Amino acid sequence: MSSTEQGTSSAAPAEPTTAPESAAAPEVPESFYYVHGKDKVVHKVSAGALQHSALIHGMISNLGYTEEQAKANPFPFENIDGDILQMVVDWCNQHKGKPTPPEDTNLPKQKEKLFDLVLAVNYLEIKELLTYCCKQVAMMVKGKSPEEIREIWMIPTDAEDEAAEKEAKKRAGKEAAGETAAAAGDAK
Amino acid sequence: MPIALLKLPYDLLGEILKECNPFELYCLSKCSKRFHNSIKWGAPKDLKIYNVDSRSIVILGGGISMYSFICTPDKRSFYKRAVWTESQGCMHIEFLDGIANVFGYLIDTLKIRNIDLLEDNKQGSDYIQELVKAVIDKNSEIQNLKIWHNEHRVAEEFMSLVNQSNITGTFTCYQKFPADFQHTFTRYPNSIDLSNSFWFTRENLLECSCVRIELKGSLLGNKDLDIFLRKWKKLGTFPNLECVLIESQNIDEESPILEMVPPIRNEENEMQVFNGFGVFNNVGYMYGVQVIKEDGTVGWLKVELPNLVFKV
Repeated sequence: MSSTEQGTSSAAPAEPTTAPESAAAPEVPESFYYVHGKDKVVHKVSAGALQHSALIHGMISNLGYTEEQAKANPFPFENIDGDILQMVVDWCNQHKGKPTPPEDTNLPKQKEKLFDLVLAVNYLEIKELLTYCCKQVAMMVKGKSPEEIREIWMIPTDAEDEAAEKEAKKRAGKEAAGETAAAAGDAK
Repeated sequence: MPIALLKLPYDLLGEILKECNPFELYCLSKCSKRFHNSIKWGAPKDLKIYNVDSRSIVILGGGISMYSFICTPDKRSFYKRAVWTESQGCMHIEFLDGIANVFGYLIDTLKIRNIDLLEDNKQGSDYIQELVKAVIDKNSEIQNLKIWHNEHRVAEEFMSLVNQSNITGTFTCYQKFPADFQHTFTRYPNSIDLSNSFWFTRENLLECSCVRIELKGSLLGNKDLDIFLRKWKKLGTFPNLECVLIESQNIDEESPILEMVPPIRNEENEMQVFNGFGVFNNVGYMYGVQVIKEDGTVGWLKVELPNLVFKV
């Protein structure tokens, strides 16, 4: 299926295992692509698994890379942490060629990673996983009171929002004053 | 582990809000003014609302989901939920400044455009008037409005509100009006079901654009109904009309309606019709006489004192 290259992006990925095929079907070699996140760890993923990501699928659909070209040109996702990308790749591999069940138990459960995971999945446009992640986030506030929700989702109170707004206005005023002073200096 | 939800992109926040039920959205809206605005932006689109009485409001989600908001004065019970089934339950909240205020808040926060039913209970305060005002203020449609008699109600004032509201379904009215009461609908709902409808005159009937008209306690007589049916027969009139049910003590067996003196009935034309409301519950089969419009549309008329039934 896929393998992860721990270390550097230049490390050679492991050979893909091939799925058993019926004797009658002609052998079609599966194509593989390579992705890496912020940590530069390269993940080898089959085109089939990558189909879950509308973003990557769109990128690779017209490339026609050979194995060598694909290996030499891993897709960089510098905005995604390595461990998050690993989770996403694992999920894509587990669901290669399969529809996602409504209650997917093969999904990352770590609440502390959920925020980054949601962002990554949204960016990579993996619709089913995004729906699941959003459900997980929504579940966090099930049965909770507004005070509890405020804590869980870090929602500032009205007073905090007002203070932040005042602060932002003050800062903007100072910046504007600074720019005016600088412009006046230039004019002199 | 907390999540800084407001740091997520707006579209993503919308996706998460879509997964929240009306109880959660209500609690979220109470977190802060800023978040209240975010809810308005991301709330699901297919919610319906109705009131049960002056102390409970129900929101219907997709399918069979039903969320009851129940008024409680006990602060310790605020936001406490009880689950009845997987998709049905209740939450206790404070009805600050009355039901109309909460109703308006829910319509506004959850962007509800479909008011399934507004109904007052037979006794108690006239809170329905405030609910109708709240709905008008929010520019929402009322699917069905049902009012019972309330002696404290100022009928003229209430009916003026009915004219301002956009009732798309049935307006059911059991209110008893003063003897000198007059009213003209400026816009008609799909159906009207009026008890004590003495004030609904021939002119009202001739201008009525409803699909279904049901009048009980009417004062319309044979001549009025004759004029109405003659107008119906003309080309292009009453394009929506499907059914008229009138109960009136002024229908008699002396003067003709469409040149037929009541009772008007044809035993050979057995035709099953849907049940009417109230006194027309037992219409069952209709042995009507055929009435043909100029464009060929066929109507069926049965007049048996004190009732007239006309079905297109």
